[in-house]
Amino acid sequence: MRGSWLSRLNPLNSLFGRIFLWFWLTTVIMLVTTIWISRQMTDQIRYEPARKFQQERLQQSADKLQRLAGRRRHDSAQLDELLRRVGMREHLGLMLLSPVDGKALLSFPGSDRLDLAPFWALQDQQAVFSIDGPVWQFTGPRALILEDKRYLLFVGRFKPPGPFLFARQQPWLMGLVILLTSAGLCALLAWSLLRPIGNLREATRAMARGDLQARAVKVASRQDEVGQLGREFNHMAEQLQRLVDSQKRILADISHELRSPLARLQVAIGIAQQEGNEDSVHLLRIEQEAGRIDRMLEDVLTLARLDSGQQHLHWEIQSLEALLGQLCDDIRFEARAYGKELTVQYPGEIKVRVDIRLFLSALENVLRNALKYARARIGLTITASGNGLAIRILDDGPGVADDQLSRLFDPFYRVSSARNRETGGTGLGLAIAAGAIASQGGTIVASNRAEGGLCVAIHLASVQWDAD
Amino acid sequence: MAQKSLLLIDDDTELSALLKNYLEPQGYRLTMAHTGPAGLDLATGGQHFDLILLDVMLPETDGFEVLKTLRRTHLTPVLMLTARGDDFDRILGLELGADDYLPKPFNSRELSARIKAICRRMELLPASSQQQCLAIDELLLDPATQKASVQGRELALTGTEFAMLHLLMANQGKLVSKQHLSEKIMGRRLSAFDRSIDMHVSNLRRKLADVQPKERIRTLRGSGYMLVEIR
Repeated sequence: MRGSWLSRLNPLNSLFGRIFLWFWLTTVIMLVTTIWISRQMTDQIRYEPARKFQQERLQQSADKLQRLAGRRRHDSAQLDELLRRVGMREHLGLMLLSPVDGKALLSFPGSDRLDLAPFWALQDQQAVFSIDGPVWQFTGPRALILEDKRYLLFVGRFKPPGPFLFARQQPWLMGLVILLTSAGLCALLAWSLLRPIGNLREATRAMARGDLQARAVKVASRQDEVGQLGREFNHMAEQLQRLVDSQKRILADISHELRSPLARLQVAIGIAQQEGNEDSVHLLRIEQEAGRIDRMLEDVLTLARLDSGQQHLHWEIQSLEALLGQLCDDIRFEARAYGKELTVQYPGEIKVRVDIRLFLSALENVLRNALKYARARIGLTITASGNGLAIRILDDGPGVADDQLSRLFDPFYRVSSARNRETGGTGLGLAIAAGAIASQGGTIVASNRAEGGLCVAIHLASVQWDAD
Repeated sequence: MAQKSLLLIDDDTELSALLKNYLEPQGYRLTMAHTGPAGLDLATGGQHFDLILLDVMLPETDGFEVLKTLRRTHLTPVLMLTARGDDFDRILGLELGADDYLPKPFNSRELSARIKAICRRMELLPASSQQQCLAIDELLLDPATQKASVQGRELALTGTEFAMLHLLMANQGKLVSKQHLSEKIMGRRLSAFDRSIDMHVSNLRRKLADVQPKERIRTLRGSGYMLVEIR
């Protein structure tokens, strides 16, 4: 239990840990920086008991001064010179305050930069302090007798201009830096949290579109909670695919198995007709219905194969007009028998690279559907679009209710009013067309025409073939 | 008309019995085999068959295997009974040298029409008006003996391929439409999906090219074929 609890805090393996530690760390860093910056930015002078090295430094400087000053007599100008020399040698700033006459000797230029009041304030102190100003740090006081005069020695240096010097001068710039840095860090956190979710969403969308093979691969390899979710998703997808596949397989298997008895039935009908019942209306009817079952089985099997993605594509290159000539002749012939008319528009001489059977079967199924519902006219319009083909099949029939348009390509889906045998084929024609177009990487969409009737638009990308 | 002798290779014994009942009154003599090897033995065993009805889906040795082995030695016309709903079968069957195919289950009338068409193809040719030998470049065709040769080397053509070559040679230099070929050779109207003619032409081309790799049969805009002289 303890181990698992701790592992939840591991930011590599757990989202909980990452969010928790991130916020915790951010809060701590913010507090610390705020305190530090505010200390850096104040002009207040702080007194602290001097540390050991500071005291030693003070002592050394005092000893040196005393030793050098003790060799001969100095007047006050010479004392000033001596102070400067020692300061140079020690790389330190030395300051002598004389409480008797209130004068100050400095080893460095810039007495104007330095307000001496904080030092005077210490003149009666016995202890040694570290005095921190905004740009300097001094240690003192140390009482000294030079030339019979009592002095207070302070030793220190000017600090290099710190990073927060500019901040004091331009607070808005500091604000900008803080804003940008924190924004960057937070964006990093948000991005690291959301990136796997985006990946998961893509997989979910693909699945909703009907791609049952969609898996969240990248997410599932993660160790954290999103990774777990990804693996759960993949598991679910797997189960779903298996379920759908088995459903489809059952349909295909049944159709497969039905072929043998149907073959026998059809031969038996032939024998019965041969035995002198040639003209029996009932036998003719049985034959007709057997043929219908036959076509249905073929359609179910075709669809099952298209769906399973096991369709072998046989790419062939042919002139579009030659390719469609026979089909258009057939449809035109049938249309005439019903008193309807087919008009065809080609984009001129074009060679296409398609799987001829699939391409023709898609067009035939859509054309037959149009033929069924058209009142008088069916149109087939093909235009070149870029390197692809845009094919539109139009009829002047009743059209389809808008909410049913997208379901038009579902197997066995029939617009409710048309659920009779007069108009209906097997109910698989458009589903096969959609499958055939999809397996060639194209799209198929149905819409209602403004002037009435249905328009099925097929788009096949990059099928045009340049003869050269 | 002499009684035609058919060999049926199909593992469905009930269907075979029904087919026997159906076809024998029409004047065919039907021999049956229920496995690939048994059918192959019969087909290559010296007995003459006018046509073999070969089911694709046989246990163990399938129909394609049988056809492939058969074609090494025999040019007996073969009608493949392919699985309905599998387009690939049809193309493969024709590629391997079947004369025609019929998706199973089939309408019995359709079956007897196909059988009749293939048998007529085989016997009509010698009896046709064009009995004389045809010769174009080094390509010779003799309808009387059903033999064709290139540069003196005999071509192993199936009946369908021979009939096709005959038709193309008789119309040398002229476009023969696919529609015409289908009606004359296969005995049926060409449908949009029917690739039989293309497959037979491609087999014929391959066999010609094996002897002399030059283009003799030209494709014209997908609508038909033309036999041309070698340049």
